[in-house]
Amino acid sequence: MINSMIIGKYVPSDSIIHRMDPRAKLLLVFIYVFIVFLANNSVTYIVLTMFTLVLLFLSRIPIAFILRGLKPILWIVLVTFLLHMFMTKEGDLLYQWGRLAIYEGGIKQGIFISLRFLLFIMITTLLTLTTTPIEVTDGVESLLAPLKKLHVPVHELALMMSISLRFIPTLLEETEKIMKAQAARGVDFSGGSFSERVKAIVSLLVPLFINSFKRAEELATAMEARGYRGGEGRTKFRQLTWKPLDTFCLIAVFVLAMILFVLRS
Amino acid sequence: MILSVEKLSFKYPNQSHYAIQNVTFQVKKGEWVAIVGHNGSGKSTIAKLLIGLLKPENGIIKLFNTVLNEETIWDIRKRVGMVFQNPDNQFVGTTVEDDVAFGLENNGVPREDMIKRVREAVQQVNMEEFLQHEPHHLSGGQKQRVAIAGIIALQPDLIILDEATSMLDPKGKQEVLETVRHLNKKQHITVLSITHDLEEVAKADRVIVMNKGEIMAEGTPKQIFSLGVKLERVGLDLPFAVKVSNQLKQHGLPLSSNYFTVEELVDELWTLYSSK
Amino acid sequence: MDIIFQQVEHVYHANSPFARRALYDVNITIESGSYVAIIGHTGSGKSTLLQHLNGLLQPTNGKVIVGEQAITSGKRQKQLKPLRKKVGIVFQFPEHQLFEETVEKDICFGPMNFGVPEEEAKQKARELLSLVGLPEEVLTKSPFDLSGGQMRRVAIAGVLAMEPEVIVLDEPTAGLDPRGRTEIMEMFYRLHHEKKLTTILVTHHMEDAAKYADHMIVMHKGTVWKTGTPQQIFHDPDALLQIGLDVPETVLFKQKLEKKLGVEIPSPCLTLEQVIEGVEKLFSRVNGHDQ
Repeated sequence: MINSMIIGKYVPSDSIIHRMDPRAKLLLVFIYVFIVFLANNSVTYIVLTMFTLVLLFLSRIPIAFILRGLKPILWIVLVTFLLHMFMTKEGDLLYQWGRLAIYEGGIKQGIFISLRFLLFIMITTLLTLTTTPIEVTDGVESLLAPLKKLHVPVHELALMMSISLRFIPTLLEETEKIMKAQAARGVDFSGGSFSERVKAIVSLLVPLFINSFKRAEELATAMEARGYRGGEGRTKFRQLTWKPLDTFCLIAVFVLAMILFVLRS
Repeated sequence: MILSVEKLSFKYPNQSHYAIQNVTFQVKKGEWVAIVGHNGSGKSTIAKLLIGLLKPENGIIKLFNTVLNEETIWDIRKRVGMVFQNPDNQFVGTTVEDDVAFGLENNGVPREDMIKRVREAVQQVNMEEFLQHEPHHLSGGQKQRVAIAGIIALQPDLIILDEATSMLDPKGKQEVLETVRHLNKKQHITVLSITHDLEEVAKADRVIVMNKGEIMAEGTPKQIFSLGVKLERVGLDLPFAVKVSNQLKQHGLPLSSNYFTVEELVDELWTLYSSK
Repeated sequence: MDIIFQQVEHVYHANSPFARRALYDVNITIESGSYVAIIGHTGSGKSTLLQHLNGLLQPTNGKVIVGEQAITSGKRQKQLKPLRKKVGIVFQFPEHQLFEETVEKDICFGPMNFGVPEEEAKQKARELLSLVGLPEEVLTKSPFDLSGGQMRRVAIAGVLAMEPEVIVLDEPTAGLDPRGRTEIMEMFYRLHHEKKLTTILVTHHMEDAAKYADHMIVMHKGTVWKTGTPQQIFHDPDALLQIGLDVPETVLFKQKLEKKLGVEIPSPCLTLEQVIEGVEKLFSRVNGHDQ
């Protein structure tokens, strides 16, 4: 069950992409999301795909891994493709069967849109595969730092995020333990009538919530005992370092944007 | 004097009886003091009062000769480290090094200094191989050692163990006690351990026995264990050697005193045996 | 109802890069009505083994036979409910499984899942409450208003209410103070005799294993290292110490005393009473010679 949640799972490595500053990666993805929309013909799509593939190659993540991550969304891509193929009525008519007609423009449009979608997913997957969740958190915190002036609790939000990340595996483990304990008391988590299913879920969720509240309380106590009193005057152990490589990557994205802008029709 | 508690009383809201009543004791520098008592005897409440997580109804707590109050609390917390019972619920960082650094971050320690102190602290608890490890890949004993490292990094004067070994397996317990013993003996850090574990009691220089929120007895482990049945009556256990020597005496064996360790008892039995 | 493990193997996340073999080559027989202690340190496969006893885990190889029912690898088992009724498990920190609004409802939860009528379950809840040493007025209280030790007792009552033939105890006294520990262990021992239960205790407390068990299974690195009576297992304390396990203080004491005195104490010395008896005999023998 837990293994199937492979999208977004960090794969450790020492590639250039892994070593990039998370802020650079976040910005890169952010800009990429916009420039994907610049592509509107074969040349621009080829350029964009090449760029993405180069990034994938540089990350040294096995291609099988990426494909596995794409699997769950494959049907969405397929539906998008079919929809566009049948709805677009441009260019030469290639095939007709009753009211269904496939035009050349439809196929093109279908491929373009699904490709756009795939590229989009690939780049975000690449971000999470090469960046630990905590790096993402640090990156977000640092990028949003200016908002502190507007009284947005950036530090608190980042801390909340990092504590959640820290406790996800603990909670999954606990879920499994409670399920087993209730199963041993005769609960059937895989079947039964509607009311039995509700009861089963209640018998899992109530202990899970109660234990989590207890955890949260104890954690807050421990944090206070360890001198935590908000973001004021706090130093940071984890530090992000912006390297020339990061600047280079951002320039590369801007160059890509310009190329796409020139080549688009 | 590291710690002095005078006539401390505390009652939880909505409860009629006092959780802590008229408790007075002191801890000297470099000492290892154990506070023992059955579950619900008020011993954990004391721990919470000592670092200001609860506010006493009456009495004075002095740490490092400073009275604990709202103004002094944060400075005092810098010098006191507390290890709690549940290894999971005090692990804040996403990795070992992050967690050790947490207290340093809170106290605004500059980063260069922090890196050095984190490394040293982690070495002292023998966890240097695990710097980048995430908590769910560590055993309970390892997590508690990380908690101790987080405390050492702050160079504390006093460590309070609040039932810190009660959720651990025997191996984890040994690891943690060994680490604390080392800190106490080599670094002369004062230790206050709140426990019902015999081994922790036996390691202490001085023991305070709590019952129903009051101090029932105070003394060296030997003096405390010689209380015998009185100790068992408040829900505590006696070391094996004490139990054996007590029973043998009851059976008429002329043992000269109560024995605290198996070695002493065996020696005495040998003397008796060979003199027959 | 005997429990038999034949060539049991369990691999977690089989056929994946995360595959980990937690149990292999396990062949054991637990006789009906016996008190068996399973010892071994964390990660030795104890808890994987115990989850096979009521089909929470299925072997990836081999066969587990509980009474009439056989659980094998491969196909999904359908009829696990009767098995789960017969084999009750008290997990470590069982108070974490409490969830109902009242103690009574929580104790009734297990039996009612197995089709016991409500009235009968309530009757049972009342009986069990006094058995686990709680006053009757807690029946209507929320389990979350009780102390940790009381919650533990409620959770235990909830498992006992299923009237299992086999009761599996996974570190049932973890975190309790000495008095609580003794009370709980004595209660299970009494039940074991009164209700003729098969009791399986997973523990780090060698003293408990020595005191209560008829038979012991020592797990080490995923497989059975040794089986036998406590006397047989503790006969060679050094071997146990070598694989990182503890030995009861009684046994260590006997060993030290024998060495110092240069005599052999015939008593098995597994419990405190036996130690006292052994030492007494030793001295009365000496006295006898003198006279």
